[in-house]
Amino acid sequence: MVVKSDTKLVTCTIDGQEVTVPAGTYILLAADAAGIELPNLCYQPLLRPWGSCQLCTVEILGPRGGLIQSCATPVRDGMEVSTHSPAVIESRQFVLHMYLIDHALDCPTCDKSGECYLQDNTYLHNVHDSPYLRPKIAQPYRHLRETIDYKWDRCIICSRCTRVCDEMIGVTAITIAGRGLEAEVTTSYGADLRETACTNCGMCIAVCPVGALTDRHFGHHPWELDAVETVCGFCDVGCTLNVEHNRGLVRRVTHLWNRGVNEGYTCERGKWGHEHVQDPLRLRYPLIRESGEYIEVELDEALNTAAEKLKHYQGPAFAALVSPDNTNEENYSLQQFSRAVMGSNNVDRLMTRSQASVEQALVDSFGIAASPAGMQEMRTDSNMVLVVGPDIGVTEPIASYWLFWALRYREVKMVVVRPEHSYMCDRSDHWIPAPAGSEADVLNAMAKIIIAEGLAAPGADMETLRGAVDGIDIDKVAATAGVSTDFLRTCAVLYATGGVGKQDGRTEYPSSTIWHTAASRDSGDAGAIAIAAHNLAVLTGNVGRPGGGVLAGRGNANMQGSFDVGCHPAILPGGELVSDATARDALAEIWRDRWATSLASENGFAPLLDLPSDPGVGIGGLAAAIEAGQVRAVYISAQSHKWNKPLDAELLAALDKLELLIVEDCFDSELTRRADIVLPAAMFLEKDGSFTNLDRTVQRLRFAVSAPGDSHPTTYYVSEIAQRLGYHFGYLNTAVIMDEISAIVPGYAGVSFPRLERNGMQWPVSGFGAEGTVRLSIGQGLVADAIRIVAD
Amino acid sequence: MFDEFKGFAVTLRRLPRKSVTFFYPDEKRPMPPRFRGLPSLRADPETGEALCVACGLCARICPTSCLEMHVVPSEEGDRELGEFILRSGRCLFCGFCAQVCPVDAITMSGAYERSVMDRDGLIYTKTELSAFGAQNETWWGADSPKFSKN
Repeated sequence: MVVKSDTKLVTCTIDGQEVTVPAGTYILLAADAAGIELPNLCYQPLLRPWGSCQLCTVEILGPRGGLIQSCATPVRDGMEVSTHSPAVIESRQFVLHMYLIDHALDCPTCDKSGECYLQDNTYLHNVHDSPYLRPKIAQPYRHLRETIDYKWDRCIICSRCTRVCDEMIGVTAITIAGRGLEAEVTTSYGADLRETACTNCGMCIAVCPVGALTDRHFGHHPWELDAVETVCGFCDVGCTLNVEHNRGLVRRVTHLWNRGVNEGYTCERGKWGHEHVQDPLRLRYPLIRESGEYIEVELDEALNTAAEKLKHYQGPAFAALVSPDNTNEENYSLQQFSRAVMGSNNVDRLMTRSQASVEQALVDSFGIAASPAGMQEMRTDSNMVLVVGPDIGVTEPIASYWLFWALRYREVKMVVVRPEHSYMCDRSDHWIPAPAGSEADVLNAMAKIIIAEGLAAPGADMETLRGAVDGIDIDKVAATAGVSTDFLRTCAVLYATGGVGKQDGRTEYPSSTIWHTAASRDSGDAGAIAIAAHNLAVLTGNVGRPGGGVLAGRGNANMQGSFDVGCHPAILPGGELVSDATARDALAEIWRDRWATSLASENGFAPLLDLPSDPGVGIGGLAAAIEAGQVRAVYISAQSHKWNKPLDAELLAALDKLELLIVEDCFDSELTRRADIVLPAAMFLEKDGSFTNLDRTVQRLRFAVSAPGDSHPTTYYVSEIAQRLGYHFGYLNTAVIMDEISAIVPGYAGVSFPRLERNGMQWPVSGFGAEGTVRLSIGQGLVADAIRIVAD
Repeated sequence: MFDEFKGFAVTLRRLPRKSVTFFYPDEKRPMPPRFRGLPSLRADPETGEALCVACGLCARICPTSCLEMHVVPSEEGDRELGEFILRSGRCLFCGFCAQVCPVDAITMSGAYERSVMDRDGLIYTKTELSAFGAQNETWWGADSPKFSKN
């Protein structure tokens, strides 16, 4: 996170220790900085202070002092604070006595027991009995929805759940109703949560300090579980998850506050996604098709058959498709298999047309297939956000949390261009409900307005853009989008001026970010939307500024990384073109030695000493190449989980014409039903490696539980098949593969597993010891000539 | 001569008394209520419902880990006992499980005849343990009339 503001520092004394913190820091956090932990129940990182639990009480010494809540009182210069004076302890004990009057105390059967804040504090403050005794009031469990239960007698009405639902998730599905003893957490009119805006993210359960909101699927005690910190594999935000498991099964996912790109917050996919990973319908054993029937076989037999058949297809007749849900290491292995063993450059990612065209748009506009901005920087530094494309709350939910957070706490301006209504549209004040297919026109019209208003950055290539937007009729576009021309003009000016509006004589404005999710579009104009959005950023000179630039949500967890490690028909790992003989030789130098020394050619299959030099067929041309008979054998590594977009029908139809199709998949899918050999794939909780998320953060994925049956990661399959073909990968573990990647790919030069243990790193990392790059700017990942306005 | 009569007098004194030995196994000796036999599951004496709330403390405290319990979330939202397994071959009969139980659902029953033909027979499940102890009182109940000093 980049902090660029120059704030005043103040010094105070906490328990005799001098602490210097920025002005406006709450006493609770200042004490934390001094290493003094203050008990609290209602304080939640990133949310505004609430001050309802009264447990973080401290005493301010001096004539105007007294007991105050440390979570909601900012530090004053020269303040003297005592955190453990007798008055403080007495007040905290009183508060705990009051809580325990009606608290159920069913600790043995409470899910929270062992990690309950109230339980911990009761012990910490030596509260063993209560002077206030009366029969406890009890209420039965209330089922808020299929996953969430509420138990009133455990609730302490701290409002953490309602605040997180309102301020972070942005849906306000639950609220506190009633006062005093009748207060309870409920939905409006007591409706089922499924009938409200609830996104089932489970954050209310995660933030509950006691066991009032509980996970209905969980029936264990925290102390029975082992935890693994890993990265979510269901979208490209790359949230850090704390996966808790025992007896070989993931029991729940919990949250590491202030950790990872998500700062601990997760969405439905992160919170309940492990249930999908552990679905009983997962493929478990290899299948081989014999006369139309699929027969379960031993793993060894499947691999032998695959190797035997692949021998006939060395050269351009072979193609490989890697999954953008697989780790960098798996994708690197598979592209190495395709290039070094099978001698084919036909290697690409299994992606939709929209994803491919958005990637092309990034290359066209910025000269690099990556989002130039940083996600955390958008949250902390951006002054205005333009959100374009399908509902970001569905495609990249954590990104929508950061948008809601920025909207509420930093009062950023936000313009949403989206056909469908969502809660973000209401909160942003500037929603342009452009019907599907007209979003690109709206963005181009905004560019035209910006040029007309004279708000374009000096040096922007306006001539090219003018050619592109000349034909746009602003009035007509506004009418199609259902807004007035003035409203569209306001939005355009807001974007160009970083949310402050046009001011006479001012040339420098705060920065604006664009978030587009065009890659999740089902229809074909994703590329046009992406280009129009990138043009706007280039036109206003926002690329490379702190809090400015473009963030492109691209759907799959490792879409970025799979490109970086060379899963592209024309680009080698390291970003060089396949036609570049020097780059090819450098790679061949590393890979050549892995061939067995005594290997005779057989069925036309022979050890390759050089890599193929012709650009291969990508996902876009694969269907045609199969129809034309150029590609006859395909190896597909897929992850058909329920949040993946359906594949192109044309490609699926073409797969039927193949002579050999080997598919690795975790579920029965359109692909496995066409395959000759099906290998069961491991999912993200079941393997080791690294993911690179949408803002280029390389993060460590850790093994949590064993994969079902004979499932294995791609690296295992390709190295076993290569072994049978006489090529020895010889990777002992995934760390070795990452070392090889960091030697080959310049952006990953300083990335290694020991460094990733601490935190994710945003590439480019220029070398060992170098820091990551939060945003790409000219000279740091971007080349001035490559940033351009594109007219289609 | 006199000594022999003296010795016989002891026999004569004992003869009319009740015998202290039992014709085991035809006759079973009543065990004292605090005898630590097989841990078993109690039920509510009135409704017959199992008392266990599936908190898992017994499994947690067991020094030899001979208790294993599987918890399932119940319909009401609470937790429910899924399976309760006692590997009695490992059991120390220490009674910790009965002591720690917050709802007195476990009692140390009087069952001590545990010889079986194979090792699997030493593993008891929920149903079997309920059958042993359903009607039993709590293990530390006061002296019961069943037990008299003889």
